[in-house]
Amino acid sequence: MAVPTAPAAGAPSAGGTVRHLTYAEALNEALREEMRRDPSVFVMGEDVAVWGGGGVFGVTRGLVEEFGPERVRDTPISEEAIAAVAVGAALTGSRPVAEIMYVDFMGLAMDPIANQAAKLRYMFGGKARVPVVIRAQEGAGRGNAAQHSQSLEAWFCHIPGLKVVTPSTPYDAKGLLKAAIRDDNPVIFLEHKVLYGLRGPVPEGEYTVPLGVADVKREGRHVTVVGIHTMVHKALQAAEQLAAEGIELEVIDPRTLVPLDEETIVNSVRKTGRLIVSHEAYRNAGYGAEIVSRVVEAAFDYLDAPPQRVCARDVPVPYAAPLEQAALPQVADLVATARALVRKEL
Amino acid sequence: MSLATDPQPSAAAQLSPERLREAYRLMLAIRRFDERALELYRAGEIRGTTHPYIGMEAVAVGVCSALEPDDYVSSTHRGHGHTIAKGGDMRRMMAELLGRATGYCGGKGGSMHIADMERNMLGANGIVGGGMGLATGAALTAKLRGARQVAICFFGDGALNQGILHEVSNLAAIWQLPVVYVCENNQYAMSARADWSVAGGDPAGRARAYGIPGVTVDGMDFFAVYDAASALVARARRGEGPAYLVCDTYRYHGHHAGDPLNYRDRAEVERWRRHDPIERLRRALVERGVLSAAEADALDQQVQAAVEDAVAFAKSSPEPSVDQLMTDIYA
Amino acid sequence: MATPVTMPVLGLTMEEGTIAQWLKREGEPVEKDEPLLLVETDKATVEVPAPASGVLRRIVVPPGQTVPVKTVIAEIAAPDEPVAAPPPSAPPAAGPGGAPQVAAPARPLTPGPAAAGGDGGGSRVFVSPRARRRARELGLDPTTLRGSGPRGRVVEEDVLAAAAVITTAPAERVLATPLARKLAEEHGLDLAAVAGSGPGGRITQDDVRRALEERAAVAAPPPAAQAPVAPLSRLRRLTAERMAASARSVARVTLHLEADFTEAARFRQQLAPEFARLGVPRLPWDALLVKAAGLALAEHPRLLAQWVEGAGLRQPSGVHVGVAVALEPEGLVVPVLRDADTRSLRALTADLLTLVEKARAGRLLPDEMQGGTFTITNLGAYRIDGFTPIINPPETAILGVGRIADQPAVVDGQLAIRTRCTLSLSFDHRVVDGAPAAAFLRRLAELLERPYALLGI
Repeated sequence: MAVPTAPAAGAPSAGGTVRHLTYAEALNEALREEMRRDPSVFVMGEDVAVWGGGGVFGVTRGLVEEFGPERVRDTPISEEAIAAVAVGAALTGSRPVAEIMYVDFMGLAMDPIANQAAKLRYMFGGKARVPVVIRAQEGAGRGNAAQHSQSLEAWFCHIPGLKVVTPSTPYDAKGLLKAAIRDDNPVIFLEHKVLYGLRGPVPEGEYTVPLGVADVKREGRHVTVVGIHTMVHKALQAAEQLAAEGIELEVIDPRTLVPLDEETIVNSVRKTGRLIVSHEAYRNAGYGAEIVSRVVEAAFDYLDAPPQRVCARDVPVPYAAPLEQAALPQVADLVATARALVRKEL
Repeated sequence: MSLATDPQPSAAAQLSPERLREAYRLMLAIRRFDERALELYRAGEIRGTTHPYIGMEAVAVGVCSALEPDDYVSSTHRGHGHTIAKGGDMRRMMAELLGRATGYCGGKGGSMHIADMERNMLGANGIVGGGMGLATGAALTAKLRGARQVAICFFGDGALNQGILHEVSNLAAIWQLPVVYVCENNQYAMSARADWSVAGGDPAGRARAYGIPGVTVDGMDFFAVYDAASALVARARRGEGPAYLVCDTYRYHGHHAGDPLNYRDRAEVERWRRHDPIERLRRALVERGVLSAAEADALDQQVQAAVEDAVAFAKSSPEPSVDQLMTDIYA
Repeated sequence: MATPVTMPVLGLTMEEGTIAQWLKREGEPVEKDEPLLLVETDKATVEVPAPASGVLRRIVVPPGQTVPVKTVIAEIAAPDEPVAAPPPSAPPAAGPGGAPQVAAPARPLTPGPAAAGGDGGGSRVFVSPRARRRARELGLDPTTLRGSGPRGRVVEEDVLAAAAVITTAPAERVLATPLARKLAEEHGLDLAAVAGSGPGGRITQDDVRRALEERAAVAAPPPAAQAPVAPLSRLRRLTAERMAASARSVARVTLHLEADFTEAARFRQQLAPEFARLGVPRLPWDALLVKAAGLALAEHPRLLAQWVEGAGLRQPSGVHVGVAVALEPEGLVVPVLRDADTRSLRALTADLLTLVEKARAGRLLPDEMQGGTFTITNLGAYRIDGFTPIINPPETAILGVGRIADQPAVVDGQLAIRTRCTLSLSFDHRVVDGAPAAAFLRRLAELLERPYALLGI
């Protein structure tokens, strides 16, 4: 998929001059501002300091120059240790931002995330805080094949105690990362590799985007589309196409999956009566199914058609471009599904 | 294995009588606490399971006696000894074992998750190797803050074969973190004998791979443990990096209450019991005139009374109300 | 953009359908939802509405031909729109469960429920949750509606359309399939004389053909010129369906009681000037009836209970009385007077006048026609003495009011001229038995015969 060029909806509300930054630059600015604000914030991960001036995708670019190698720590390739040590540091008063280079590598780091970070505060009867952010990027579209293209957000959403953030725009990326760093609980912060180059408005100056607040990226009357990451942008494109047919999509970016802003989604479905959830993660047991369940539980009596999932096929992400594109949900799939819902074919 | 700085053979000898008596009291407390916990388990008053520390008391107390109050400790599933050695409150521990609202975790953790964050005791841990990242991360916090704190990572011989140990050992070594990895080699990982499951002989030898000191001591000997721990902790505190301390020891009871114990014979248990760490410390203290036999007996009575007080406290405490179910969770 | 017309899926087990008749010719303009063709399935003949407005550009499948569901059977396009590629000349040979060919999503999005699942029950009516909720709000039984969604699912739109025509009918109707009705009309055959063999006594196409053959056999002169057939308006069709559904499912019993309205007439005469002074220009009989019914219903709430199929009885919380208002040229609306038991006669009267005026002007709002729990229908103005009204589902009872007129009557052993009125109460015997229903009707009559309680005691 080409990098979306159109700035996404969701106009920034903070004051100051609005610049157009890339998603990666916005994240970089969030890290920089939080490290300046709070000396207990530090960054660690593979190739975050030296490589290319800071990170494989440039998110940590220039940080080591400003904050030094103590607070911008390159690590060996030891995903479990990166996560585990970050959790230990958080438990003792630091605010680490640990990076796992690809979400696919999180399998190696699952114990510290799922059994330590997520549970310590509760297991200890509330007497510990674990203010750790674990960043990773996910998603397909660049031909990285099966072990570097997955979207695994559902893994983390399943574990109570973890917050899960999935920004889709530069504005949200910056505001959400700052909020995540200030949160006293573990946050899994999942970026999307294809979005790093996306430019969008980011105001000068201080702002955060609270965790647990969805953003209605476009309003519409006929079908609610809840998209994650790139699917927000694809849903906006689909909405544009369908508008010509008189079909209005309401595009919602939950922005954080845990906690989920169920109210915004449910209210939208109460209005439209029709729901599509869409993510690059596999359809089977994906988070979209959770969203569908919540909506069915909360707004069953408002559904006029069965909710639909427009998600990745249940197959390892293939390498060759036509195969990869076929495995991923596309604008045309959203268009066809929305149209079928409105035309009462589903 | 030689050390960059050998422990002073007289380190333990320099402990004041008060501190020696306190060490002896703590070892007794660990034993009596866990004996009582086993009784309560068998009486059906403790849910799940509990892992007795009995037989290994010299390790926890020997190491923790070498620490400052604000040093960090991460523990294991067999964590009662570490909590008591770090100064934990037996009342709140017993209340936790009995699932009471007054327990360390308000009844949410149980035996395997007792933590005392006020004493920088970072919690028992139900995952073998789970404390390794926590201690290493604590050492990183200390280093970033420029504090002089040291972190102790207790783990068993079973955890020697978890991958995380390699990762954190390597990381602590290249970052020179103030952490001491203390292996309590009690000879068995559940039923797996350490001389079968651990390749390469003496586990302390693995330290060489990271270029850090590795020391093996008699873990049934308070003085040996204390001496080695003092040296390695001091070294870490000076910013000279991590080390391994392997303490050969033995758990008298099974892996947990309810262990079939079909994998070891009685003679072996008796052999280890002849080196009982509490008896040895008692003899030494009586010999040195730190403690009379009568005083030692009186101390034991005192400890047993304290354990009974803890049980009474726990039993008279309320169970957590169900409205606590969804508190302390934020996502 | 041209809209394909496809063979609809009209039931859970339907795999193919036969074009019975095109109701439009090629080139003829059509409105969306206007009846476009008749389709025969193994179960029924069903009228299919046009999916879009425009011109019927091309009929792909002629009458008599059977094709799998979702096959393109015609095309509707804008009048000036060129039809691009020729449509498929032959229907796709889809076997059972054949893949949809038209407007299908780029890839199968849902495996779909086991379409022809093992239970073989093809008669269940599917109603979307949203439609079900809306129907509940509107007091409609959605299972009596015909759905426009996939597999005939009733969706919200269908309920809203039906709600636009809340009706009560003064008399029973003959049940017939649309095709049978059309055929009968074409041949000038009175359906009332035809015995129905379909479900619930419904007259089918075959019944009509048989009757026509019998008529021919008697060598009756051929009917005069075939009168043109006007397709049913949507309003007429919905009314028909609702009435038929009520007649089909409700165990209706009607009781008649002749009440003495002499006192009520005097009461009304004396009260009218007082009401006028208070800004209520008239005091129609219906207002007294609504108030009396409200008070009697509060004492006999069982008449308000609603049958919920397969579940039990639902007791609505309020006494909301609907009053049927006939519209010109045809149709009925039923504005609802809320809380008829507790609100004052004056307030109810004022509301009734307003609502009737709005009804006649076609300006009633949907929520002014919703939520009724009892209905009153008055045919007195037509000199009707008594009748057997059809119950307005999901309500359980309806009061028919006959003419109010001076009649000879025996009072205290003397012949006297009294103002009399026949009250007819139809009720659903599934919900309430005869004796309690009679007790309610008696109480209603008492309240009208001694009307001063209507002012509130």
